[in-house]
Amino acid sequence: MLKRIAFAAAITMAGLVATASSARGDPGWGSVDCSTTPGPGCELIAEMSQAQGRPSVSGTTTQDGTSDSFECRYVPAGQGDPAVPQPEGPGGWFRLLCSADGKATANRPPVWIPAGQQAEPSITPEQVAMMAKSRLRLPAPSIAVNPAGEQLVHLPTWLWLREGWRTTSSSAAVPGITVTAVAEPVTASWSTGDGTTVTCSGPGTPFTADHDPKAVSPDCGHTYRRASRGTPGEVYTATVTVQWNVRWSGAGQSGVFPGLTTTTSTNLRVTESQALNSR
Amino acid sequence: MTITARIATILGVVAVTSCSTGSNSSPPPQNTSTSTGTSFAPLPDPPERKAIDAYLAMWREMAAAGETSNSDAPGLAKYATGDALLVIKNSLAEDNRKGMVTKGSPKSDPQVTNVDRSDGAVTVVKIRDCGDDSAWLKYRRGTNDPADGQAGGRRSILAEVKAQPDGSWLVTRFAVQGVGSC
Repeated sequence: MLKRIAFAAAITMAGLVATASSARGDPGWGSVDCSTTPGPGCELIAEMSQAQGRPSVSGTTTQDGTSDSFECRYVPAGQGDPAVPQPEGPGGWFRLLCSADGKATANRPPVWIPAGQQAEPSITPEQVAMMAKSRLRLPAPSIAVNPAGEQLVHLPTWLWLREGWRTTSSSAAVPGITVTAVAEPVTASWSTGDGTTVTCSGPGTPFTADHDPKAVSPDCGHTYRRASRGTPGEVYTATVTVQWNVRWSGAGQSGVFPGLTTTTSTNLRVTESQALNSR
Repeated sequence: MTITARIATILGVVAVTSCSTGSNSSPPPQNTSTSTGTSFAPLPDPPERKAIDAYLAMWREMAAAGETSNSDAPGLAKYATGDALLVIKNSLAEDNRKGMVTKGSPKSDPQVTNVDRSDGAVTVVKIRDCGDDSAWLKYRRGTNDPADGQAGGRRSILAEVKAQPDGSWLVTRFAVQGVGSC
């Protein structure tokens, strides 16, 4: 009986996952589009759908052409939080599960639901925010260097990210609570494979034909001093790790989550250049 | 309670009995050049009409400011305040930082979806629009090189417009949705 009531109390959740626009341009409203750049005012979408008597949230999340539907429901939990004494009377412990795939994503302790009570799943903005965070799809970094092929000792190497550096957001909503989590790239930390780490505060500047090949990157580069000959594979492994700050806001509250990282690596061959050395 | 937009039906509510003691003089009707398909009866400005005018004027001022990506354009604050003004200014400042300007203008087709009353006077108007920014595009400053981003199109836009103590109407919040949302 209780089980049935609790299951019947399922509510629907929607998460809108989107990727913020890159530095490329957009149509006029592109930079204020709630589906790519959630900001102040976007909560109107949830508010005004409620005002019209429609379910405030339901449906699907969309990311790269795939979609998931979100749902929250109570499921029986074997036992309660050991720190909480079991209330008197008939009832049971339940856990709130909110996910698209049946696996738990709302990380919270079991709650006691007295028998016969209409169990409205209650959830705080921070818990909704955790769901939004779990929906973040951070872009994978993609390394670009100049020179494009082999690096030369003493010749500046330009390091930049072709992909993987753009503010990314996702949202989740339950009736009355819409929360957006925003991940912003903060630093790109390059381990160049020769014992050096270069930390850049941006994606780096792409090398283009109008730059002097002997010039140093204005914001993210490294100059190898030793050839990679003699190292395993005769190459240096360059690894970039992007550090992301994640903050959330919604329902009049806000907060920060522990940061996220994305990483990738590539092999670089560094050779001596007699021509340059003899200059 | 939701009141569907029928401007002609709410003419009974004309006076804005705001709590301030200021005059209820309103600015002259804006010459709205925005290309909308909406037309309104030439009657004394009901609050819904003033709200729609403020909404259209907000995008017009944003488009004008966008030609130079000037986030300090004085016209912006004449029709928007609060979050709405903040989001517009941030957007223009970001474009300016990226060396982008916006040319053209958006198309709008706003409808009033809801009004809130306080002591009988309309104080808040909610608007639903199906805007189109396919002819309002960003370019690299000083060039005719369009920024190769996504294409524009029809977008569902929601907005909240509030009566101000001086009798004017300002857009306080808006939410622009993705291309194809209407």
